[in-house]
Amino acid sequence: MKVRFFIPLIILLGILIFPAIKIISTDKEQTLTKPNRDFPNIVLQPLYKAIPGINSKELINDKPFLVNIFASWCLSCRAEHPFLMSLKEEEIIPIYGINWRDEDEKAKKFLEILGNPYSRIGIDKKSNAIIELGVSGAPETFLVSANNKILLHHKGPLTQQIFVEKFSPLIKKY
Amino acid sequence: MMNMIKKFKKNKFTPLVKGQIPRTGLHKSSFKKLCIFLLTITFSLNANAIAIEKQFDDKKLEKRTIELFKDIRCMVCTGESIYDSQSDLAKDLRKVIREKITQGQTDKQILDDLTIRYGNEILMTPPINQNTALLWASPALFIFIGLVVLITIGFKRKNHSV
Repeated sequence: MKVRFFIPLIILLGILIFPAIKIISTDKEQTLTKPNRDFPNIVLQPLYKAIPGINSKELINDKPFLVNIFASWCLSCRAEHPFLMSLKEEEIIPIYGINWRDEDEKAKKFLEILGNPYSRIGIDKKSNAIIELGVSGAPETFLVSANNKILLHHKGPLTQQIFVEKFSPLIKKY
Repeated sequence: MMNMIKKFKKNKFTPLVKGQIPRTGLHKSSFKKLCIFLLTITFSLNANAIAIEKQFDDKKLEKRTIELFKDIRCMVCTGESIYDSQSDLAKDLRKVIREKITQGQTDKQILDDLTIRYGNEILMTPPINQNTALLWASPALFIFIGLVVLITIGFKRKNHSV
């Protein structure tokens, strides 16, 4: 068979390569910096009696903070947890946690074993807050500015590299 | 079954047993069973997750809700709408949307809200605006290019006698 019979096929494959790459690569990790929208109005019950829950009205800070979506059933959350602990220990930025679709006992166990980096923890069993935030999986981390604007929405585990590259510059700025 | 395959490979044509379909290894009865099995699987794939949820009593409202569900992409399962998807996120999203519909929100409001939170990817049909104009035009564009190529090659063939 002559080569020129394959030309249409080659052209088609060439055209299809682009959407194929986009579909395969889009899903897992990305950091979104869409037009800054306000942190939505959410109220979540606390996990522990001693640690406050999440109430948007109380979150008016004078400095930026992180909101981290986690759950005991989420494997990648375990992978990123040590990094969150290091952020807490070095007091770089306050971290609030949203425990998504989890059981209280399992979540507490998770934090007992891996440590608790959160100064506030809210429970979201019905995904109400998650949908308000535009979350589609765990873990995800938001960087919120001092005046409650969402600066970054990172999907996937938070690593040192991503934090240094994407989060730090904005934290210094705001 | 293995015997039939072996005989087939060895190219031995055994005389037809009564009821056997010629040139296959299958008997009429087993063929019937195979057909029933395949049909059952095919149609059971249409059983959807929504059947076990609390639906609206108002049939018209439920229909509108379902149409809305079909237009929203499930963010954790590539290609499925939240109507098709059985994932937890889709389930929760359906509940939340039902609540919003009960509160009186319009389809446009709900879709706009979701687009602000999740981006354009959450819509099954991408919006029509400047950015997406090329996307919408591309099927017609490709057909046009294909026709041009066909015609040009057609002319070339006519001019050179092969």
